[in-house]
Amino acid sequence: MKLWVLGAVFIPLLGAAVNGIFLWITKKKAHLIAVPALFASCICSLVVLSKVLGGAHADFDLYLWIPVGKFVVPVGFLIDELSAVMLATVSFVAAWIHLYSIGYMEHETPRGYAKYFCWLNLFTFFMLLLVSANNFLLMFVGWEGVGLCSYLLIGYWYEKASAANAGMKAFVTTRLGDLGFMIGLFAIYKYYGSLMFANVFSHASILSSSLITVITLLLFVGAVGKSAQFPLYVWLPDAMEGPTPVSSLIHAATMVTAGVYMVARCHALYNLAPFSAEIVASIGAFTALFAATIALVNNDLKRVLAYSTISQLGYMFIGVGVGVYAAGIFHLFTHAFFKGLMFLTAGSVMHVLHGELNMQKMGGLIKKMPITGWTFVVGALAISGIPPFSGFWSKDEILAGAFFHGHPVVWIVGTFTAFLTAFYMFRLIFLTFFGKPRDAHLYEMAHESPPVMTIPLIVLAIGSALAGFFALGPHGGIVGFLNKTLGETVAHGKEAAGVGHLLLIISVAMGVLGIALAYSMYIRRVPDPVVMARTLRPIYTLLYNKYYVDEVYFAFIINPLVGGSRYVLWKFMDVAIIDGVVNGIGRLCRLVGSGVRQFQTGYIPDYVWMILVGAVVIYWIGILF
Amino acid sequence: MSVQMLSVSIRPLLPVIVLLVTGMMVLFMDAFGAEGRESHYGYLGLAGLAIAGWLAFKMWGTHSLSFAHTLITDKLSIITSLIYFLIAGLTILFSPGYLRQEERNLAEYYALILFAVVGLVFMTSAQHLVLFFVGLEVLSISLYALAGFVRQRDLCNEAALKYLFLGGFASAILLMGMAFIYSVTGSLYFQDVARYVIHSHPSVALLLGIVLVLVGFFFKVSAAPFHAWAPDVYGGAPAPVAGFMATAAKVAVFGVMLRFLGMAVYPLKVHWIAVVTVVSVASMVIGNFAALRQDNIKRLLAYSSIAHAGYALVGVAAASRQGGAAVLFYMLAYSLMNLGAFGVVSLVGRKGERYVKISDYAGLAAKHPVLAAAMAICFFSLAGVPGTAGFMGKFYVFASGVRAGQIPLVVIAVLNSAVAAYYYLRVVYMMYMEEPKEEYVFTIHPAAVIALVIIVIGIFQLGLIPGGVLSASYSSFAWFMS
Repeated sequence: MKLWVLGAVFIPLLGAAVNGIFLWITKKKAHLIAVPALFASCICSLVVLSKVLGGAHADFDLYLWIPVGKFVVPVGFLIDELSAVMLATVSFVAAWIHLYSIGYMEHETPRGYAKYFCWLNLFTFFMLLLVSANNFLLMFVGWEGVGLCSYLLIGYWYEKASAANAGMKAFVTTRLGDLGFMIGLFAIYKYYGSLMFANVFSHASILSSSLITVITLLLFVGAVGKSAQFPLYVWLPDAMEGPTPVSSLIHAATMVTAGVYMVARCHALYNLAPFSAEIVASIGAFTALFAATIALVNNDLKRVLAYSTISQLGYMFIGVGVGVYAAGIFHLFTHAFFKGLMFLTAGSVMHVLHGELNMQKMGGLIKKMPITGWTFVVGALAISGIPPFSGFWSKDEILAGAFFHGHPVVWIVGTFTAFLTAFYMFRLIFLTFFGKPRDAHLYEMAHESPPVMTIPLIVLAIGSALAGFFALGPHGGIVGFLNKTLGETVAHGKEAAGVGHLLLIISVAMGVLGIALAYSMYIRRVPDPVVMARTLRPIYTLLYNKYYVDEVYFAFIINPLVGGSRYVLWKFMDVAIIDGVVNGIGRLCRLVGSGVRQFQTGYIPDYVWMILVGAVVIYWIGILF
Repeated sequence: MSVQMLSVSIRPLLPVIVLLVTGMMVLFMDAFGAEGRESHYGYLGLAGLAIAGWLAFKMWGTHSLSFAHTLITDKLSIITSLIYFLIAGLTILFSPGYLRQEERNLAEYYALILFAVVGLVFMTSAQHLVLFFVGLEVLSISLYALAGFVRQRDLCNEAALKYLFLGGFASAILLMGMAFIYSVTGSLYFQDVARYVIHSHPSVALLLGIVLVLVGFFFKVSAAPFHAWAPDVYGGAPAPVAGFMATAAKVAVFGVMLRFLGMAVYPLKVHWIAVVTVVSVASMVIGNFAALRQDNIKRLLAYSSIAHAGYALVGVAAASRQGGAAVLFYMLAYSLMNLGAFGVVSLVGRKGERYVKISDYAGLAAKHPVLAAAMAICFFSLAGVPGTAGFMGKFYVFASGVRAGQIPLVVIAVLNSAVAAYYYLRVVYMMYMEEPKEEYVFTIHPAAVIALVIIVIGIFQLGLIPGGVLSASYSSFAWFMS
């Protein structure tokens, strides 16, 4: 067990190290190291999962990392149902995305290519560390590590100003959340006296509930940043500047779900802080709806998917917020497949259209790229909650959980969002893959991507289609399995089977309705979307401009900050004071340096004098004290 | 002290005897053996070191006083002995290629290193200042010869001569200090001095004696203002020898310093802490600021080693068990990274050490990625980047300083590490960011590769899994009360 866990986590690090150190040698062959490393890690993870399925658990320390007095933190791993599922999900999806990257990145420079695979491996390592750590600090190492890799990969094309800025935006915005997260960790150490999961969670109730509420809210601030929830979601759409496999792996399937994992991991705390849980569910529900409405009118292929990711993350937070942690993680699991898949298909389209992302210029592409098109349809059916595709099962679990745990409003919001989701996803499909080609030139360019890219698409499409059936296994399927760790005691299924079926029908109906509306608007043109946009101008403009949130941030936060920085911090503090001091120190250093040089004459008698004078001086110092 | 412990037992001396015999064997076999086998003697030396190391390791946990109470065998003497053997072993591994390239492939070199190690072991095993002095001289004489080993090079001769004159001067000061101590306390045994110090008021003469002995120590660890020889000597000496001098002697003198200050004159700590603090600050400031403007990598490393002596003195100024443990840990970390750096310098320098400018490292990473990575790891460690030995060493030293209430000193030390990062990272920048100006044609002896691998593993081991070494060094300073 121990070895398999270490293999799963550290093989990607090894891959990153090899590609990082031997950048000049591996060059365009970097994938020969990176991809097998990931598949090896994936196999290890699956072995771990199978052992956990057999009832095995592990909580072991590799070594003591920081022993400083009473503050002792090991590098240790906790393997239970939750982390086993996370390990398997992350490494599986990551492995296929690594494979896909070989095709997608083929036109990069040799060094860039090796760098890309190095970072991608490093990212996977940090993500696996995050989900398998047995203490908060090590989890935080993973947390920050994935943030760093995300920054590096968003800004992969750093010559492009927009990419560099997007990387910066992501980094700064998530830092804001991390600040809360860190204060949460400090508070946990101060009040629980430990950062080990086992110690904290088993003694969770020793604190007053108000203190736990504060701690859990602080932790959630971190999750809001990392998992792109309102109001810190703004970095995720811009993160689409990175290569598309990166968007798929980091900004859809794995990193952004870290917040959901963290809340589920801390369920022992959230169970004791109903107010915090309420906040989690509310923010989740609001974000789900909010992001879905923006996605309705956006014309950028990847950005629609980005807003969709934000919205789906909202769903997951509904799940962990209303107390059905297993359902939230289940949705994370299925989402990793279908959203990872949809980003990869978007990448496939981009790849053959030389970076074109505007859906209004596409159309009819399914004839040119059938595998890409149809796999996307599978993903879209999954996200729209159409049975028997995977999203249907997990979304239903969450919505039913919300309903039966006394959150009818959240249920209504969630169900309505399901309708919006189906609509904007099929709007995307009909605009991109069906109908008439609107740009003949682009259409001419289109062709199917190479097998190294389409095979991962097919694998993930199969996953998106079938992953939901894990819900049907014995003992409550995957949800029951996860509940061994997450310990949700209230079984809602039995006492209200009738109502449950009704809810199910409603949510499926919403999905079908959304698809139907998209079909009628974008294929039949009744009602014509252009006309609709004109009649509903104010709403359309509001949505099209994404509620002006970026503008609001600029007007109220960034510009004052920048202005203040420019005039107070830069012109005054920096130029006048700090530069003055720094230049002064620089001058002083040079002076000191030359002073020292004066002494360094090279003549032995001078050195002897120095020793004598020094001896006299320190003798007087010794006497004076 | 029981009678059995007083009886003459050579057991504590076994490792030293092994080394002496190996050294003699090297000399004899060279005199009577065939030509062209010189580097084999290096491997013979390695075998001797390994056996001595094994014998020393077997003694771990024993505690004895022998030879009329002058020689102590305790955890500190054993742990430092092991460090010397490691340092000597690594130095020998770097040497065959270097000596061949300098056409000075002589067996005496290896014998001298082994004899130097003998001196080192006696220094940290001494319970009596005269025995310490004898050990110091055995070490110093070997080092004088080693520093001038490549005698066709002027710089080398200058280094040896400077080291000889100034080292002699420092020895004289040290002896004078010992004389003052003897005149006041009537003994040069650490225990006797301690007994005297506890029961009587400090006299000016005794303080003078202590300060003069400390000056001798400070000279050997190249602490400012007694450092002036270091840049010239390290800069001129053959690179592997410079690495040996910069590390082994410092480990030994810091060990003795902690023994002397902690065992013999601990009650006078108000006085010596003040002295150590001032010297620490001076070393850090002078070392770091002078290093900022160096173009020669060997001189840069020399100034850096002055600054590192200053950091380690922070742990001495803590005057605590934790401080002692931190200093020992720091010395091990420091030795590894400095040996690695000097080792790479000896490779890149090529014949006659013509390429020792920092600009000579431009783009090294593109041509020799592994070598550059090893160098970068050593420099990151010297700069104290987390994850490396240097970080953990600094962390423990500074932590002990904070715990001892030496906040201003630690603040100065931390600010100094920030300054130091500039000149360390400049070298890394040069290797990775600049375009290569030449082809970097040089042969790398396989032994050097082994040494670099050991060093890199050691740096990460101490940086990531410091627990074992730290607790071993903590148990070596039982004489500190706190």
